Amino acid sequence: MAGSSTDPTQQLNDYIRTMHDQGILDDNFDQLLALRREQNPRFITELISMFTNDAEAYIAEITNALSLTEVDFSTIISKLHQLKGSTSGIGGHRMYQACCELRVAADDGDKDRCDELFLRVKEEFNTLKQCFDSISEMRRNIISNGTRRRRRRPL
Amino acid sequence: MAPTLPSGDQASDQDNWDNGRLARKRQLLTEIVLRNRLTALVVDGDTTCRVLEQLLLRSYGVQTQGVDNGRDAVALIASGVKFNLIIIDMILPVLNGLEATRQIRDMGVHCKMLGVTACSGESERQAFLAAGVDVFIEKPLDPEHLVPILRELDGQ
Repeated sequence: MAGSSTDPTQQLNDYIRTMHDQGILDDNFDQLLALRREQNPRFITELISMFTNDAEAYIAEITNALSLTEVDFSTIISKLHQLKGSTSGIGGHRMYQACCELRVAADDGDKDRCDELFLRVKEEFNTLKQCFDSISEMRRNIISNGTRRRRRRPL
Repeated sequence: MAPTLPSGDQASDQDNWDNGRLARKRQLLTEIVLRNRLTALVVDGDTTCRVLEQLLLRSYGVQTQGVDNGRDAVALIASGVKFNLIIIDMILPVLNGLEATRQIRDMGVHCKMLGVTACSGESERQAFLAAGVDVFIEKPLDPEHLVPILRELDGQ
């Protein structure tokens, strides 16, 4: 069935495809959607929330480690490892790439480069968060539309 | 063959996914039916990764337990709990994955161990394999790597 531009499901399809085209999401996000079928309806929303909360904590710790007079590269590498892992799992492609680049700078002990690349990590995280917010909003619309359709069904 | 869709409010949006990648991933999720009850321990310091790996395993019917650091993993194994599969990250709080793996192997544990980590260098790979993991997988854990291993463990 061809979807119209006002069809919420088609809008969500198109949006996710656009996010793929822009490199913001990758196949790993698709794998989550496939896993969703086995789980509760709010699985994706809960997972995104989990990822976002943890990522913000990691970013705060990296910020602190970078701000020290004696930069704590060990903590940066440790937190970045976790951030990189969860980002890859959630399918945040561009953010993952930014984390990889920052990791190289941290391994080299290059504070200036770390500062520059960490800025990019934070920018990509904000982009990814906005993407997830949009997806969550569209999914809520789909679910509420489905609920309204069921209520209109004759008994 | 695409899986049968359940009824309910997820059916319409699932029906309308026209993403070929999604269909392929979904087929991978339904590709295997285990004959035996398998158990797995997931050791990862990151909540999202640990939850994802456990969910993926459970989607194949594997019973899972998760811990968030290497020390607890070693303690759990030392207490006598047995697993068919251990999935362990390299960088872990408290006790790192390399040392935890060595200690688990030193206990005489021979189960399949997968080193699933965000570290991607050859030196990391060699170090993890030398520590005792059977397979080194760069995150994220995906069906392409997992299904053949589950088949092997299930004796298929």
